[in-house]
Amino acid sequence: MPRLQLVLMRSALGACALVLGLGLAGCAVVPQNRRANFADPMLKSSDDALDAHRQRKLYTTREAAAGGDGKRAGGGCSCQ
Amino acid sequence: MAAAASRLGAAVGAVVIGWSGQGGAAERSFADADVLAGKPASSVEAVQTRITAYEQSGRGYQSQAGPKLGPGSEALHVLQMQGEFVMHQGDSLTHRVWVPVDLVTSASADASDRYYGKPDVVSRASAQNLGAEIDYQLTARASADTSWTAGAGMHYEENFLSWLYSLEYQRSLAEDNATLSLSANQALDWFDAFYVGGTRKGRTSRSTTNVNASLSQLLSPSTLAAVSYGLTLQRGELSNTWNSVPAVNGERVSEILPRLRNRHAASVSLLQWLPWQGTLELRYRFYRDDWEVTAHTIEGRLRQRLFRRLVLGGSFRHHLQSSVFCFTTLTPLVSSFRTADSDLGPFDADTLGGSAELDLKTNTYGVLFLSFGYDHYFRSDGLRVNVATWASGFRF
Repeated sequence: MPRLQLVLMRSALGACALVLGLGLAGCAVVPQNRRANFADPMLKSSDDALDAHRQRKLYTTREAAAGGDGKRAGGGCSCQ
Repeated sequence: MAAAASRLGAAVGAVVIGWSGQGGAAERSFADADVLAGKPASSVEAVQTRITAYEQSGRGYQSQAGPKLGPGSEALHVLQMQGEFVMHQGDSLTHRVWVPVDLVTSASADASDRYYGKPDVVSRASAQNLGAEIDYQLTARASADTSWTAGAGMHYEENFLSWLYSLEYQRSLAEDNATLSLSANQALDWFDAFYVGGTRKGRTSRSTTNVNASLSQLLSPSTLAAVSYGLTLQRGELSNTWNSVPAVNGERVSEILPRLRNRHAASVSLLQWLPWQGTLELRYRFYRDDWEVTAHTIEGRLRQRLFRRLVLGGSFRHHLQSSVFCFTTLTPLVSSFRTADSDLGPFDADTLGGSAELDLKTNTYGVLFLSFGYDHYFRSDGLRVNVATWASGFRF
């Protein structure tokens, strides 16, 4: 694994963890009357279930790493 | 995590009376008649179909469709059709039926012969294979902030049967500012095993047990964050049994993989609303298992609404993985474990994608939505996959 890519990946992980940690540390409750943006269907963290399935199929059958998305990571298909 | 975040979004959406966004699916009538009429005993939430075509090219040392010791072809085509039906029953039950059907070339051993002849695992693996699955999920709302989802399914391919079970607990916390989700999945696979030349050697099985925990949290009126962890334990025959490995004597021998595998994956994601009717999603995932695979994956997706009903999207994904401990392209004749499967080797992979989604409001059938997407997946070992997907359906 190239060293530069590892460094970039670890930096990205650190940045995400930092942002998330700071955010969760605040944990300020967002009142319901300020959540208008979250009523928009576009603001959801994934596509619909069928689109998520076809993307998962693309990756879990071609890569040695799967999981971390709340779904099963292997099995249920003869190509895994 | 995705499901949890999605439901969190839906939950907060239900209480935001004053939203005046552009998306057709979120537009609701608040006329007196509609409010006073109450909710019907049963109602259909969504019906949709999705067709996806995969076209793959590349070469891998596990394939026998090529030079004796050289990499063989990994070319294959998949036509995948999915159908989904979601229905509410009363205030507390939601039924979901999902049927994916895969029409595949070269994915499995061709075991369709009725008289148990020798399948072709050498030249094409399978001229044509049909895989189908049916899944049913029931979500029950136990209280205002707690729900349970149970699921069962069955997967069938020519030489392969699988039973699938799942259970998920979901709880809203801090006035719906956070959602905790705990889930477990179990897959039992039962399938034919083959010698490297294609002769059957009876039936074999594998078990996959998976537990997950995820937490999504509103960080601001426009930011949602989520963390997720998944543990997967696999037991049994973890090879497809017809993969081969070039050997030092000039022949090919069978792949041998350990019968146990423990896999860990953790991810963090951020979803940000952009003031110009757009969203940005970033995700990082770390993966590690006891076959010595370490992987890092970063993903980004940008979506932009145009002309009220049209949403355009662009996405990027980079995946970097090390190989399993027993990966080789030329094995000694005696070895405990060995594989030449290119999917288990070291590589980095990139995906570039684009999508267009259109929502059209109808007078009778809710919102008609149409979606088209294209992804190009390419790996450092030469594998290429072109994916085109098309979906249509109604949301009520």
